[in-house]
Amino acid sequence: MASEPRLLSPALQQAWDEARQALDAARQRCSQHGLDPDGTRAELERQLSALELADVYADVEAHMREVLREVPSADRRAPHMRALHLYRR
Amino acid sequence: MLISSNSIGLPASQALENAASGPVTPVKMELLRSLLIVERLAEIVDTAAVDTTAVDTAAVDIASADPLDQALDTFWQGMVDDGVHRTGAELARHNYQRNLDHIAQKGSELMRAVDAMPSGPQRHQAQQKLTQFLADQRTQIEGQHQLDRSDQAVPISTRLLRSPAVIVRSQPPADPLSR
Repeated sequence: MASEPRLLSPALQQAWDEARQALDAARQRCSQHGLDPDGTRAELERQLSALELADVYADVEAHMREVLREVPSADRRAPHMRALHLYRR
Repeated sequence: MLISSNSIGLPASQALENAASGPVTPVKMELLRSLLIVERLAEIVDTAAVDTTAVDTAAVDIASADPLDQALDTFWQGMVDDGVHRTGAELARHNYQRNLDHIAQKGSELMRAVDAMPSGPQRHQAQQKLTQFLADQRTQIEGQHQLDRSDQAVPISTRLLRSPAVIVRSQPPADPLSR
């Protein structure tokens, strides 16, 4: 995972900040339910059903499409969409 | 009644397991969702170039420009002038010092942003590009300053005969505020 970005375009910085806040909140909820807050993606993918995973992947993809509409194209050189599609089942 | 997650074909055993897991499944899904989004953004962040936060990009085509290019295109925007009316040599000295101060301040801001990039070829390329840009700007300002100083000793009638090309080429750093 990448280190904390220090200087980014405003749209990407905002998307990053919101994503990190959402992750922190999700980890807190995990702790409240007695779950491992540091569960890895692979562990979670093993624990969830195919249908639940499909819901998550679709949600992530929709969110990323929304984010990318606001992010300058110069910040969008990573093959993130291709990588995202690899998660589809 | 079937739970919603079983409505399109989950095995009954899986549905029962999901139902038994109760509220923890949405929590796991939310954590996974957050992890995936952070991962996806991290991939983008790793390849993003340089900060444009402090740069007015309103007049820049951000669809085709690199963030550093955007910053350099708008390098002279936002330069602060005191608005005091000056003429002759005093004006030339003021513009010269104002432009050098702007280069020093804005240039150091951009260099800090570039230095904050992850180490690698992209950062090295950005450092070279920025260094070259700043050197070019200083050269133009020095040239314009020499021109302005010599203008003070040349009759107006002679100044009007200067080549337009010379004037146009040296104009941007002389009065960036008018860009």
